Amino acid sequence: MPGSHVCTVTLHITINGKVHHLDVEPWTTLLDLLREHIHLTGTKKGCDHGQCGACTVLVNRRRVNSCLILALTLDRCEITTIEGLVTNGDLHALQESFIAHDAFQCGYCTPGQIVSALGLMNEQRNVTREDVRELMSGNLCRCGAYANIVDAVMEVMERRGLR
Amino acid sequence: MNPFSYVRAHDTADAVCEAVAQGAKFLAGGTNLVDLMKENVERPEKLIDINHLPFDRIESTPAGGLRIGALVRNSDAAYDERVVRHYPLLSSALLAGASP
Repeated sequence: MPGSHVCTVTLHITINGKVHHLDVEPWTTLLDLLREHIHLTGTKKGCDHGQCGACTVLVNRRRVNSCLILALTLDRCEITTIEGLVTNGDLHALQESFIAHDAFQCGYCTPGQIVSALGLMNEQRNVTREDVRELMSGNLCRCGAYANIVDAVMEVMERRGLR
Repeated sequence: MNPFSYVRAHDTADAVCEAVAQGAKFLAGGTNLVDLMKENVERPEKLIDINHLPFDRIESTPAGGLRIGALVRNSDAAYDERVVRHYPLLSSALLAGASP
């Protein structure tokens, strides 16, 4: 509220399988909640305007730009961030594939790219290379590693029978 | 972002009632509104969250058309079988116009 006191809202949210009960200010975005409140800094803040995709996370298994969604609208939702992809210390197949294909240079966009690719796989569509380029066009890579990113994603897609 | 208060509408009447307040705005997906609020282009005093209202359906109409609810996500509309079959241009435009 404008003025002297800060009004917070209680939020129950599951992040990477762990339930959190948090008091948040209404203007807190999911991205700021993750980075500043939960200290999960794997999700990156690039443009903070929904244009670059560096902040991509999954909400109930679907891709969203976390910079454009207010945290308090996500009560009882399940969030997956890049930190949630590791199981018992083992990297996710997409993470392994990004390393194998050298699918990054500076790495800043990489968490968003990988989570976006996971969201795309969750959509269970059969895709071609061209489809991957288009369906991940919300994730920019200013180093220009796109060719290798598509290679990395396609390899995992092929293994899962999604092409 | 400017401070604001927040309410969640439980039904349409509730949402309309809340909207009477000065400086109130409806919040759906938020991808436009939240972005404009960051730049202080929009400075609502109250946001009314309408995401729980039953407007997330695509229904066939008796006249042979489709009614797309205001809360249907772009990708859901774009991949809806009826939209793909009968309105391919709309489907393509939706997929080209938003990301992811």
